[in-house]
Order: sequence, then structure tokens, then C-alpha cells
Amino acid sequence: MSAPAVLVVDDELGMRETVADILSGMGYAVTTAIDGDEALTRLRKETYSVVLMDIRMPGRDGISILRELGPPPPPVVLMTAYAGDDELRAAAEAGSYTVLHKPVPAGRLLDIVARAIAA
Amino acid sequence: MPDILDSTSDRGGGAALSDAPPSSRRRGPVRLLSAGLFLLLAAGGGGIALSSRRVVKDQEKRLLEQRATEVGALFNLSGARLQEALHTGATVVTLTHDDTAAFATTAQAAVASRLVGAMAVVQDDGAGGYRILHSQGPGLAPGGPLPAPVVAALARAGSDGQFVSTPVFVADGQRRLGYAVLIPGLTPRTLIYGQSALVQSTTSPSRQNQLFSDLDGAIYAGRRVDPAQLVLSTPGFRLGKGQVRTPVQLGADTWLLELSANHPLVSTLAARQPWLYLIGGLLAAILVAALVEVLLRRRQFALALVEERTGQLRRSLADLDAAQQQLVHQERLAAIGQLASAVGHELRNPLGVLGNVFYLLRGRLGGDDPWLERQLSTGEREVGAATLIVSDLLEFSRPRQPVIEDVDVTAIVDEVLTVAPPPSGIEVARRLAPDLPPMRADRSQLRQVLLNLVCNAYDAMPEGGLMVVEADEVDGSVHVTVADTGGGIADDALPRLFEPFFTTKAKGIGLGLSVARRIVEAHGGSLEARSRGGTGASFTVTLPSAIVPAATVQ
Repeated sequence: MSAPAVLVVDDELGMRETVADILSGMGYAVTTAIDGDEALTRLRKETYSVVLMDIRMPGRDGISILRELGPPPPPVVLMTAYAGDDELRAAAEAGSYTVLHKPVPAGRLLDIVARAIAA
Repeated sequence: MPDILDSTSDRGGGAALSDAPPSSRRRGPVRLLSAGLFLLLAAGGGGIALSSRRVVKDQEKRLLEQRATEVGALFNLSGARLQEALHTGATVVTLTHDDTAAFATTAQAAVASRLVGAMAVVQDDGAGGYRILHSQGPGLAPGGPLPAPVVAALARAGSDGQFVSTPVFVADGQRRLGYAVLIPGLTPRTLIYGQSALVQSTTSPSRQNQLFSDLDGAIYAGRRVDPAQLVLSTPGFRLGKGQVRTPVQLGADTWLLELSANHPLVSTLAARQPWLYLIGGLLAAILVAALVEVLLRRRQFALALVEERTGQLRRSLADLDAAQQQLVHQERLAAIGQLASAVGHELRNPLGVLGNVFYLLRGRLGGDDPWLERQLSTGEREVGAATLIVSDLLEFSRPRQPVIEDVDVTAIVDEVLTVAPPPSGIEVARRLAPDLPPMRADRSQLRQVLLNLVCNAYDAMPEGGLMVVEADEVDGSVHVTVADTGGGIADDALPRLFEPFFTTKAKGIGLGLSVARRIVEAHGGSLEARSRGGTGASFTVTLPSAIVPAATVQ
């Protein structure tokens, strides 16, 4: 059984790379994307067990990407540093697996990813 | 803020002013003025009434005097007729050379017409007296003497034909009065003498009525009021009390007429004029005084009203000013809040990255090297502290509704202790009840609450100590208590513990507990603080558990 594929989408280099490293360290096959467009391109070509995606990014944001993904989408874990009530509601309606509030401790991140894949 | 204080004290002053009823002030002077006006006008009315009364009296007196003249004229007329009767007698004696029969005819006519009671021809007897030659009528017998007052009067009758009268004298028990004229050209002195008995005034009202008409009065023989010389008077007239006295001429003598009006001579309306003036004056005085009083009170009321309204306006302006200041203050706070929020959001990413970096470093390097381990712990703890500050600030400036899910209590306590590991010297004891049900909470917010309580406990024990984290479930509620062995909470600090920006620490912005309580209460739970004197403090979060209490199920 090959390692589960995880797509990490974040425009911030530091966040993107550390999250990717943490997940790689646990044996996941990690791919990264720097914005929504790239994420959408990859999601249409490849299959991922779980997607970790920042909500606020230049160009299209995480919630609109989530809406564009046709069914059946992989579980999408959204991450945000801003989340207000409206944003959280929109994320839930768009079908996110869950929303994590940055900063997300590494242990919590790994826990959520494992659960999302198991679901 | 001083402005608000000022406006408050201003309000106090204003309230004290408006507490006094507006009309109570200056009421005294108002009454004095009205009363003064009333007295002035009433006095004016009274004065006019008095002077008009004097005018009426004068008029009354003038009318009476006029009537007296009329009565005098009437009296003269009857005197003239008497005089004429005597002259006729004298003429008859002269022409008939003392024919007794002719005289008798003339005298009888005079007596019959009641001009005179009796008539006689008398002649000087040369001895200081007079002898009656002929007579007609009662009381005068021929040859008889004449009384002394009559003799004295007869001496005054001269050749000018003047008619003289005697004073009232008493003869044969009757009051009498005599008149005489000289018959010219005879020697010795010969006169026609007439005499009347004076009847009591009450017995012959008709003649008096003729003379006095509707008036009361009396006539005296002589110039003075003298009851002995009373010739005639109206019944009931009080001698000497007449309002008017006037002399009347009877031949050579002057008599006195005394008159009174027994009813007003001026018209009724004119007589009542003084009273009308007095009543009118009083009414006018009352009206004017009342009007002045009303006007003054209205003016005073209006003034008080204006004063009160001005005070209200001033207070409103002060309130408005204070409100505006507060608004500006709030706007500034809101701007600062927005800035803090924006900065906080921007810090979350780098803090998250730093946390990840420490995690990665620990994975590669940690374990054997205590020195490295200590550095990593410090780094992680400080990142955690910075993250908590940012979270509290964001939660305070833009509170978020909790997104409720089932939260595993053990997992979240462990996560908090991992993110905020205890500094050296502090021991941590977890006493979590086995088989704890999940809490119904917003995971991220609950973590923030517990992080605050744990970090506070660390800060309370700079010298080291024991932190105990306890959790159990009672009647459908999960209690999580974080207790420390620090210095406890001062009594005066306890009530203010959950106020924003209140802090007992040298560092820190004082938002942690206020934000924690807000979050817990937004969950429908509670956050309580307890101080164990100087030996530590404990904070207990109580939230509903995911399991319905057994009691409710049954």
C-alpha cells in the first residue's frame, strides 16, 4: 500500500514548506501548490487522499476552489488565520472536512490528516 | 472623561434648582404689589365716594335753602294778608270817623277768614297803657287793659303804617300773639290791634302743611331759636335741630324760620352716587389687583419655565458633548482594535511557521541532548505565549461565535500542555477522571481558555511550584480546574479579575481572563476563580458534556 497523497496549498512559503516537511516526516506523499489555480490544475489531474488548503490566497481563495471541485472531492481541511463567523459558515456550506485555526500545532495537524484519510 | 464628570455635577445643580417649585420664589412681593394696587384704587374709590357724598350734601342743603326761601315767601304772603286786614280796619276807622258798626263788619270778616283771632281799636290812655275802644272776637273786651309785652310792641308802631308784632305772651292761660298798625292822624294815639291764640302745633296740621308742605320746620317770633317764642311748628319737629335757618320779615319785625328735610331732596340716583362710586371703586380695585397678580404670576411662571428649560438645554448640551467625546473615544478605540486585529492576523502565520519549525527541529535533534531540549522548550513556550497574546487580542477585538463540536477533554489538555510546556521548577499533575465524556465546545476557543489558565498558573509561580489540572463530570457538566500553589489572589483584586485590561502581573495586557470568561459564557458555561489565601488560586471551567445526564433520561 503506497503512502497516502496529500496536497498542501498555501501561498506562504514558510507555512507551505514546514507543513510539507512535517507530513513527509510522517511518511505521506506530499505535493505543494502555491495558489488556488495551481491547486485546481493538480486536483483535476491527480488523486489525493486529503487536501490541506489555506483559505486566503491571492487569486481564487480556498472556499471558491472547494466549491469548484466536482464530486466526489477528497476531504479538504481548510486552514485560516482570519476566520470570522461568516467565513466559517461559508466553509462549512462549501463542504470542507474541517477548518483549522492557525497556528495549528503539528500534533493536531497530523491527527486531523490521519482522521480525514480514515474517513 | 473630566467633561462627563463636569456634566454630571452640572446636572446635580440643575436638579436642585428645578426641585424648588418655580412659583414659590418672589410670591411675597407679588402679593404686596397687588395688595398695594388694591388699597390705592380702593382709597381712590373711597375718596371719590366721599367727595361725591359732600357734593350731594351740598346739593341737598342748597335745595333746602331754596325751599326755605319759598317757605319764607309763603309766610310773607300770609303776613301781608294779615297786614292788609289790619290796614283795612285802620282805613275803615279813619273814613267812618270811628263808626263802630263799620269797624265791626270789617273785623268780623277778618276773624271769619281766620286771618286773626280777634281785632280791636285801642287808644293811648295817657298813663302808659292802652284802652280797648271796640273789639270783635274772643279775648279782647272793650275797656280792658292790654298786657305789658303788647304795650311795648304798640309803642313801636309809627306813622309810616308799619305793621308791628308782639312777642308770644300768655294771657288767660293761652299763648297769644298780637299785631298792630297805627291809624294815622288821630290823637291820642289810636291803633288797630289784632290778636291770635297760638294753638298747639299738633292740633292744626292743615295750616302748617300749607306753609311747610313736605318739610319739617318751625317759626319763632324773634331772631333766635326760642321755644317760648315758637309760633308754629310741624308735628315731631325737634326745635333748634333744623338744617337750615333763615330770617323772615313780618312787617317791621324779623322772625326766624327753621327747616329740615325729612326725606332726601335730591334724586334717589344722585343720592346713591357716593355708594355707587365706592362699590365701583372697590370692584375696579379688586379686578385690577387680581389682573396684576395673575399677570405677574404668569410672567414669573414663564421666567421660571425659561430658567428650567435653559437648564435642561444646558444639561442636554453637556450630555451631547460628553456623548460626542465618548464617541470619538470609541472610534479611536475601534481604530486601534482594527489595527490590533490586522497585526494579530498577520502574526498568526509566522507564529505558526515558527511552531512548525520547532516541531521539525525537535524531531531531528531532540531527545538525548538536555541543553538542546531546553532551548527547544523555551522556543516553543515563547511561540505559544506570543500566539496566545495574539489570539486573546483577536478574540477581544472581534469576538467569534463558538462552533460547537465534541471535544475530547484529555486530548485538549495534553495539547495545551504540549504547546505550553511548564517552565523549569514547575511540576504538573494531570488528574483527569477516567471515561470522561466529550465536552460540547468550540475546540479552538476551549484551547485558548485552557492556555490562558495554564499560562496564568505558570506566571503565578515564578519560584516554582505545583500546577494541578483536574477534570471530572458531574450531572452532565464537565468541570476542568487549573490550580496553582502561587501567592493567591488579593481580596481587592478578586472582583475585578475578569475586567478587560485588568492585570496584577508586571507584564501582560490583561485580556486573558476577560476573553476566557466571555468564551465560556458564550458556550453557556461558567468560569469561576477561587483564592486559597496566600497559598494559591484555582480556576474552574464548567461546560455541558456531550452526554445527557442520567436523571434527564429517566
